[in-house]
Amino acid sequence: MFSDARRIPDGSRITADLAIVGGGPAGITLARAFAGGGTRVCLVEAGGQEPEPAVQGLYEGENAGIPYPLAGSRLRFFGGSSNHWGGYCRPLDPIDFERRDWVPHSGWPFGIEELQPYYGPASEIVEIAPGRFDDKAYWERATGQAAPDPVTGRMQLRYIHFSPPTHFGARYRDELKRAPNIRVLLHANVVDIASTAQGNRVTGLRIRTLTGLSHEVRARVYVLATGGLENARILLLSNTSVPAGLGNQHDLVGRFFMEHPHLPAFGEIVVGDLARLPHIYSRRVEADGRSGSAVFNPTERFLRERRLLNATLMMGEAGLYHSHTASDWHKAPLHMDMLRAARPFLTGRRGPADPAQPGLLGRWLGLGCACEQVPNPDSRVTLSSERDALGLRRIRLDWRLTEQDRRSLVEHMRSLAMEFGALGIGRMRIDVQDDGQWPAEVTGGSHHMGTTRMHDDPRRGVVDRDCRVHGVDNLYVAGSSVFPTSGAANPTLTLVALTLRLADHLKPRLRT
Amino acid sequence: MAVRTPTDPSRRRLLLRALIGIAAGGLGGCAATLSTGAAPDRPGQWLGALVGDGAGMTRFGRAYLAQFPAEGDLDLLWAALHGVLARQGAEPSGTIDPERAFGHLDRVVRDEYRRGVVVDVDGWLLSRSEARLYAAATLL
Repeated sequence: MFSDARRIPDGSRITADLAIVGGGPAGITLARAFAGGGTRVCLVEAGGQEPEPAVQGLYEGENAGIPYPLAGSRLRFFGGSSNHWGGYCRPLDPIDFERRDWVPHSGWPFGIEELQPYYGPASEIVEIAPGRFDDKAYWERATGQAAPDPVTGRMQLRYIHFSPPTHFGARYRDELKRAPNIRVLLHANVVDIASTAQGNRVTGLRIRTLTGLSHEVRARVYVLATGGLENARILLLSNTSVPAGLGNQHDLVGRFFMEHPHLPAFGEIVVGDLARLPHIYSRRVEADGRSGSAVFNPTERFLRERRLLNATLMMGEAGLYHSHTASDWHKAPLHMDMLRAARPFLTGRRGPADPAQPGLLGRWLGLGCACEQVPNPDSRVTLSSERDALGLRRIRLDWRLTEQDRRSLVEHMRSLAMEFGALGIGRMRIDVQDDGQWPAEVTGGSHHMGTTRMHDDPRRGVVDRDCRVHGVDNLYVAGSSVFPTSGAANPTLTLVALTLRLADHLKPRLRT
Repeated sequence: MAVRTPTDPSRRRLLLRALIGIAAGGLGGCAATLSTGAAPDRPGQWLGALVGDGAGMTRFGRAYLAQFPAEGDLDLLWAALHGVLARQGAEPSGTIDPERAFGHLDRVVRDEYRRGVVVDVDGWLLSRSEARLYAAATLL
């Protein structure tokens, strides 16, 4: 059942067994896990079924660090940020879960083997199953092209899948509507998570609409699933019993905000002979109704030897160069000269790479990178003094990057350049200087992680290994805000897997 | 395989020209027969025929030499390239088989990328020997 908080009587009190705050990928996945069962679920969503400027405006905030699109990187309507998701899917790597002595604050409470059983079902949910993330033989059969094995020992070949992408709201709306035990409450903004005087148990959710109505939801168990920025904000705002914010007795809520830093121009690769470049390296390939692409990922051995952060590098065809190409882009002459100079190394011949196109010099590929960010307690979400239309303090983000982040990125770029040179595929120009400085153009991938991090020690994490908020008996957090480390994979597949794990944990507790 | 390094500077230059021409021009072209004291006719044209579009090399050759000015000498560059080729088993004297010579150089370059023997030239990550080849082309 779907209802609109603006159209129910003012002061309504809704009772459920499980209250989920947030109708994005995590919230919807959790609700679906209980669909058709005996648990009464109330899914509280701040927005409606479509984007609305006034609702979206509640995501505006203040930037204290690297400029960041607080309202542009997330969506506040049913389906959440999946409504503008790019669909990139890859699981985290085993090393991402490890305590690494060169990565401060690293280590999950469990290894990848704990999450592995959930990646398959998560792949079904995001419509990429079965995942072939390491299956080189499969992709070679699917493409009819052999992919050369990396030879430097620095890089390994992996594969990402592309979800259609799954817009969780549109995809699973009808299923939730049909579930007799699920109630979705739209246009319902949680303004406070009420708790006991000691702050050790949640007693209800205070809800307000933009039209001025107030309601309450009461449940046995509560799960906060509003995304990596808003999860922290709501906990900080819920400060009636705990002045620092619910679950914030050790000043950790909001800290360790992590993204995957992107630069508009990491660098480019020029390729003289396309026959040397497997298609799957530079474009999506369709196979068995699914699409995928190859990516490069540093080997574990290399990461350990050089004490680097993880990364995923990918490339895409961007343009062709002919001997007569005229361009006012400042990089075009650089690319063309390199294609001319290195032609014999890249094509093995003196003449044109493609006799059918005698003027063809080659192609250039753009580069993308999902780079792990070191967990940094000073990169954080706090509350601004500015207030939104509901009277609540807006979010304040101070996103920070470090020299360690930068150094790893540059080294991985160099590794990719070496790999392509060693394979005779291309030459790479790196536009990132190894000077420890991040340029003003750095952006994120709309990946919001770490602000309610997971750790068994309440002095080092906001939630425990079961994603329960330390010190609060019946409050849990779902989503990428619980990630202790960011890894180098887009977070959606992993947060869905984690949510399925959380559902398994909650079911015995909620069994009636 | 023992390799005799030519002592005649002009012969070293001729061999280097041939190497650059062969490597940069790829396969094909003419096999250059070099003997002590012999100089190819119209070396500029010979080099141009094998190198192809020299403008590409010049940009990177100059950038390399700007970074490593001490290597701005053909003899030094030749000695360095000769050394890596010798270790590959190439015989950079006498009759040069362009196809074979390029094969050796290509293997050298790929191996240097594999081992990380690379240098940053104007943002491009290049094998050291490849960069030296471009530098030599600039000096010719």
